[in-house]
Amino acid sequence: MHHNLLKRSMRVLLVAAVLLLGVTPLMAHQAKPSGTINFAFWNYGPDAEPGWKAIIAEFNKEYPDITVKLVSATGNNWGEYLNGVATLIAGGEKLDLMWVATEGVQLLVNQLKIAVPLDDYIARDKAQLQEYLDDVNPQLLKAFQVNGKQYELPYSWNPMVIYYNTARLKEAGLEPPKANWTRDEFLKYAQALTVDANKDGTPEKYGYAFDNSGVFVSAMPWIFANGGDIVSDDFCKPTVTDPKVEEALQFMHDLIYKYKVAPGPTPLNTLFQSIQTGDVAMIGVGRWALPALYKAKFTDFDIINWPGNPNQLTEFGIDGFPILNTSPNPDLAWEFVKFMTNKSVEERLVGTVDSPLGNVPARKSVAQLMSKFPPKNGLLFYNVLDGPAKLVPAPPRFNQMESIFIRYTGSIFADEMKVADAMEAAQKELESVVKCG
Amino acid sequence: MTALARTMSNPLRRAEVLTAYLFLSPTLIGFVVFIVGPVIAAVVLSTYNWNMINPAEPAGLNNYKQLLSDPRLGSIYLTTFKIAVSTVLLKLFLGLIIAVLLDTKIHNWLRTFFRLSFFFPFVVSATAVALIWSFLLNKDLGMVNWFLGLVGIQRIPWLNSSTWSPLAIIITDVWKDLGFYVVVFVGGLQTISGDLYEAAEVDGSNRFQRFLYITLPLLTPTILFLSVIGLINAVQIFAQPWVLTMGGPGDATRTVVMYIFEQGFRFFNMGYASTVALSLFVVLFGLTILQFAFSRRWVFYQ
Repeated sequence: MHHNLLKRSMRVLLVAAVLLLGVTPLMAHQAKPSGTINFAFWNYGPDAEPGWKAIIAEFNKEYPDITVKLVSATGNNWGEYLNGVATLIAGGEKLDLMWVATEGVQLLVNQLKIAVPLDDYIARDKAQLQEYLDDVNPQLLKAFQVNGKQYELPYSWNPMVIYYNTARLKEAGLEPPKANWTRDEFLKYAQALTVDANKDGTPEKYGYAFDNSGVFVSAMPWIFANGGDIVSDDFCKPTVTDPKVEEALQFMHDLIYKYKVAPGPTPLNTLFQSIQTGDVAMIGVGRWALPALYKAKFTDFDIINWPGNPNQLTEFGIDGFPILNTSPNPDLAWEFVKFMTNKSVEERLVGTVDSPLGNVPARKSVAQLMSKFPPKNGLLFYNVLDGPAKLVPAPPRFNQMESIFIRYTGSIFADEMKVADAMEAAQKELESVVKCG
Repeated sequence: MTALARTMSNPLRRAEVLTAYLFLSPTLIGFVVFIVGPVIAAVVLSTYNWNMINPAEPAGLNNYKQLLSDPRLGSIYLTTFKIAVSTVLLKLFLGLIIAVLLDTKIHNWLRTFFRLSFFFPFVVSATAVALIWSFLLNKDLGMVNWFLGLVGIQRIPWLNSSTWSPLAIIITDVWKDLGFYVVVFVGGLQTISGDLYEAAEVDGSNRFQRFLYITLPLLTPTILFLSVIGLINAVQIFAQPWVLTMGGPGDATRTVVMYIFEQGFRFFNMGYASTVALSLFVVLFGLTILQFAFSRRWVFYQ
């Protein structure tokens, strides 16, 4: 009896084992990822949505059962877009993924605490990702590490460089600036490039112009050139009364009112026209000026590193896709994040012959394709990373910090407030916004 | 039996009343959902601190304390009113003159052409208007200063100066809304009977006297309407300063609605933003009551 029972149980176990072995591969084969993920993107202009739809179509070739729903948020810059997304989240939108730049990382990770660290995912799929991780400059990867954890994989980024109109330089009999030029040399260029033919005191053509609508494009590159910063490295306090900061702002003010080589602050979109007409000979911007210049078939320009005073420090900002902890499908979102590291996807950033896009790809191998487009020195966009580079300062309450800072720099550049007074007042206001604990 | 009871007991009358409410319901629902609801929400929110992402925390009257001690709010209100009153006065003045000129004996097609031209900016988006003006008003690269330069005037920092930027806002706002005032005044002029003018002409009055003693007094209801509506709208100006100057330099062109937007959607202080919005409501309400109270002295109804 006992013997028969054992035989029977063994038989049952054997059958169960065989079934399991047979079924498991079947199950694994059927476990193709499927579901819907909501992805918020920056709708910066008419090219944005079609661009993303094309990327998602490519994604769906590999993952036909994952539906990626696009959620649009607008804004003039990364900061404003972030406001839009925060509003969406407040309105109850369940997002899995979003497209976020440096400006939003601290907010999502440290203040709202809704970003998911990717380290476990990366470790699990290391074999697949190793080639990408080797292809990306370590400075870019580090830019998305907070408290030792990786929150995003770099997708695209932009450094601030100086664009110059080559025809105007030739006109003024100037050689192209050297990569390691100093601020004093920059000033000499700006003065030589400012033209006041009828000697009435107001130039017809300017040597340089800048925009004061955001921290990234206006004062930061000059402050970095001085070796200063507007917040401490741990984002715990503002440092706008630092002499290095005030001197940089004084220099920018003097460009307008003392040396008279720059007009008042002008929106970058206007300056994209001015550099073509030659009304302004030099502007500071990242690669995103390219679409406007390329569409106008303008090729009389080139780029060079931002001057140092005397040491150079390039400002950059970077973007990627954090997975949010409100996501019901983080594994699906991770598939999309991995997909975005593919070479073919990043190649779109460089652009097609019909439309070069405006960002620099995170992968060095793909960045080499930038040489297909103007300017001649285009590879500098990636190669600035061979020298010292620093992220735009982005404490958790970035938008508030930026709002306060440009309000005061606006008064400085309107010649209505002295730098010292403005920064003293700014420091006080910023202390309630940039703080820890 | 009360009148209501009589109505409700009569089936035909009942049907009539219900039909009336049915037709009124879309507007009523819209009013409640989009106006009354948000106002109540704002009142409630003003007693909370809410950053839109985390749940709201009760804050009692803290937001009101902050309102009374806010160092920026006083000057922002002053700026708003400077701009608002200037634009309304200019629009009233220019609108009336243009309407009277359009009422003279000119060809019909010419009159239509001018009416269309003046009204056209009113229907265009305020943001689009402001964007174009921001190009025109650029100090060194814009056309306005180029034209001024032709007559020897130094370049004016329209968008970058505490003195000139408010004027830039006023100019663009008046340019945009003038057409509406012209059209309303033209309508008002039509209500004045031609007999009055004929009688006055017979009595030996000239054009200017007729304007001063007939046109103007009989237009006072129109002027009251335009000044009440105009002030309420002008105090809430947002698109022009936002696009032209972003409120700068400093706070020189920052209006109250811009400040509310900044507090709510930049600084994520929805509680405080609601409080400022309520203060604006109270101010506008008070101003409107004052305007109506004073109107008895100068408005002449036929």
